[in-house]
Amino acid sequence: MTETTTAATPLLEVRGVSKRYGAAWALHPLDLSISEGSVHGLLGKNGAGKSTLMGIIAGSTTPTAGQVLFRGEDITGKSLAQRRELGIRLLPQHADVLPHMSVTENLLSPNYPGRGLVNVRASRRAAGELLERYDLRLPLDAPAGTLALPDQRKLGIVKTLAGDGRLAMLDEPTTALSRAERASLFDWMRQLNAQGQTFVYISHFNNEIHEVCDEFTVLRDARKVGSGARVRDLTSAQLSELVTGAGVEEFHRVPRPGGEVAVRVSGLRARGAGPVGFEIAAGEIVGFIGLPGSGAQETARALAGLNPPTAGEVEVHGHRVSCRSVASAARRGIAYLTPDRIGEGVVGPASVQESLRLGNWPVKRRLLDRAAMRSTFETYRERLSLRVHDPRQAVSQLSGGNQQKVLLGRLLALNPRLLILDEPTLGIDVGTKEEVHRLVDELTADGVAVVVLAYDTDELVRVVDRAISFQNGTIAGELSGADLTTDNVLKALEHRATTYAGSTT
Amino acid sequence: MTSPTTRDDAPATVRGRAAATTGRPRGRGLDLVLDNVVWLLIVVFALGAYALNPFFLTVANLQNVLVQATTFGFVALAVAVTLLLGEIDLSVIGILGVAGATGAVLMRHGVPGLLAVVVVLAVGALIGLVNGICIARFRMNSLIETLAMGLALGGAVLAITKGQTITISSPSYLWLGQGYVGSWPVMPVALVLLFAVFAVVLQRTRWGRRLYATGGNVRAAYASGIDTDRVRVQTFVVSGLLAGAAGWLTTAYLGGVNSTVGSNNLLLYAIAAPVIGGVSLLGGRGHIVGMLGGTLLLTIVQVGLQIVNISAYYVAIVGGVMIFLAVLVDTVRVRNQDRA
Repeated sequence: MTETTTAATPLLEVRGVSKRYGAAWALHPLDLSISEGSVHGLLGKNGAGKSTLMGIIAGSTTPTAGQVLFRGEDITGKSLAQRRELGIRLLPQHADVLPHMSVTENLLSPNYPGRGLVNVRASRRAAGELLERYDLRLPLDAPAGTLALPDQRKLGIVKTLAGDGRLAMLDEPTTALSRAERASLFDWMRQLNAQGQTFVYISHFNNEIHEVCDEFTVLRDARKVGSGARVRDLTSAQLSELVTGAGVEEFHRVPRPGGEVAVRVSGLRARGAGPVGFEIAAGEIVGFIGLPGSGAQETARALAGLNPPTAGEVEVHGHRVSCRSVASAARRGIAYLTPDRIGEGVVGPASVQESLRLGNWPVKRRLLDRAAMRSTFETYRERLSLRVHDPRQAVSQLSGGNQQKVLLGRLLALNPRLLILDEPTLGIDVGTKEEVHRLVDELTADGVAVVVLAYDTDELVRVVDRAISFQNGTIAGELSGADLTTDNVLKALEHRATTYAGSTT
Repeated sequence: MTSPTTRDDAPATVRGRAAATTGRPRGRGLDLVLDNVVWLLIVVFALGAYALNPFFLTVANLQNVLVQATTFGFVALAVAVTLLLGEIDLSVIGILGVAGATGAVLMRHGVPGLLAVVVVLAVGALIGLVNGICIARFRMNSLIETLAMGLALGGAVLAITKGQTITISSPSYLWLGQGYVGSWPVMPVALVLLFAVFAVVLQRTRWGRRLYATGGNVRAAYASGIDTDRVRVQTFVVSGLLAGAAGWLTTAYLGGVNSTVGSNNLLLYAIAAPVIGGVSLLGGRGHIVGMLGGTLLLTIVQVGLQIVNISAYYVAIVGGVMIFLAVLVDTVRVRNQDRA
């Protein structure tokens, strides 16, 4: 079916489009065409030019040169609003629903039906029709914040499509979704696609692109480096190579012989977790697996002092640790990397140099020791291959991958004995991911005990020595050695994965 | 279309991009002007006032500007530290009044001047502590809590003075406000010391950096081990202490207290000064040099309008327009930087 439509005029075509800021190319001249009825995957590292290209297509960025055509018509000079009218819609990466407003209000805002006063009945009907058209069953009056995450994403997508959205461009819509939740989103997308809906799908994940896309375009260093009509003809490794340039060698950890026990936890109870007890050897990497609410993350945050324990004992190298606060946990060498980089990770206006010692600033005679801060910066710039030219640059100006490295550097500067990494590779590109895993592996050679939480199961099993699975707040099982496989991890998660059936109120 | 040999020219792109974010050679001159726009405006306003009345640029008048800027600098900085935190303290003028009135009453009952100074500062810090506890521990909204506190304290000044003027005669209390060395007033020394000390405290001490980090992103600051509630309380104590010090300076300068001390527009000017100097209302951003600039600029505007021959009926309008213009220029600056 797609073969016949691609022969016709593509839905959207980009000809010789480029963008430069001063001397720097944000996008070298490139061509791109999106066929009607396709799911077009757009891949590339952070800063490869994906957002610039999407901005040019959506109309929020003016290209330096080139043309954008929609159904053969030149729309280069048209504004964002005019393109929206035509049906070109972009769902930005961090577009959230309005959590306290109802599903209906979220869908219709800001154009409620009614003159002067909002016509409530007409609103509900309009919202109901919209949901029905996109085959989404949601409670109309529930506050959007109470919906399950994938339903919130779907709600955002339906809102984006409302009023004949012909081309839906979705920028990393699966961030923070669990595997089952992603599957539910993909099924729905495939269903809409079968009915003729065209998508552009932006992602870091090769497996997602494989699962849901047919056409694809790969960008690297502001250039198009590959494209085709059938992404499934390429292997994951081939895709990764296109994305990063050189072949990315996937890191596989060689299990190290367990050292002496470094971390001992017993009878730990905290909000959403407990009782939990386990041991971790020095130099061991342990994965915590479990769906949201299973107690995996709650336990990790309890150890970090972010979810203060109400009972139980934590020992690191024989010393009792009070996890009452972040400061008291850090004092005994527990460091935690947050999955919420923007909300809980970086202090935006702070300089890179300062961020690397945030909350742990070196002082000399009670004044900040700038020389020490500078040397910390130099150490971690090299060790983490940070792409920062000026240590005084604000962290908010860095790319996501570099921000993640700054956060990691800050934890390493604390000389942790137990490093807890919650989604350490979330939203960072393929090449940087493997760098992070290698770095963590090297740390364990010095006897650092590591806990990893990751929703990408394939990734988890190749970087940990052992996995502990959580359910209902407590430990449900353990996988190690030959049992530590993707399938087994998925089976451990299955309990809830198979019962996921949309939002209930 | 693109040849597979991109590996060769990739480094060029990387270099180009790095240059684009560091250098910005074209915009540098403009940035320099915009970053120091407060100082530029100071020069413009001073020259304007001079053109209208040459008396403006005499030593006597500039001494007056510095004297006026001293009290104002203390309240402006009191507001500024809370703005850095992402909060606001609207009770600074109330604290100024109550602290000053307390000192005057004590001295009338025979308390020595120096002890009275200590009490004045302590009263300021104590009220700040109450604000801080209400806001950090009880999670009250700082805007409303300090507004209520400010209103109550304004009433308290009236209750203490009963509408009368209480004069102060203790030399040890008055020396900072009224003393002269040769022909120079002593008061501006306090201004210089204030900003010198806070330049170091804000930029070079752990406490200062905790303040900026908490204001910049409170959750991230907490997750990095900073006791953010404690930083909040401490900041309001500092704010109260500075406002108390302003109370001492004001009453020492005036030689007494009456119910109108620190009334009318002073509070709004005190909020405007740090904002014009580049302090973000969202917290975490702002530099001490800008705060000083904002303080001096608004003092110059006020003093300039007093001596330039403008009818008293219109002074307030002109003052408001001047602040509006300053904020407008600042907005252009922020936009320009965001685009870079």
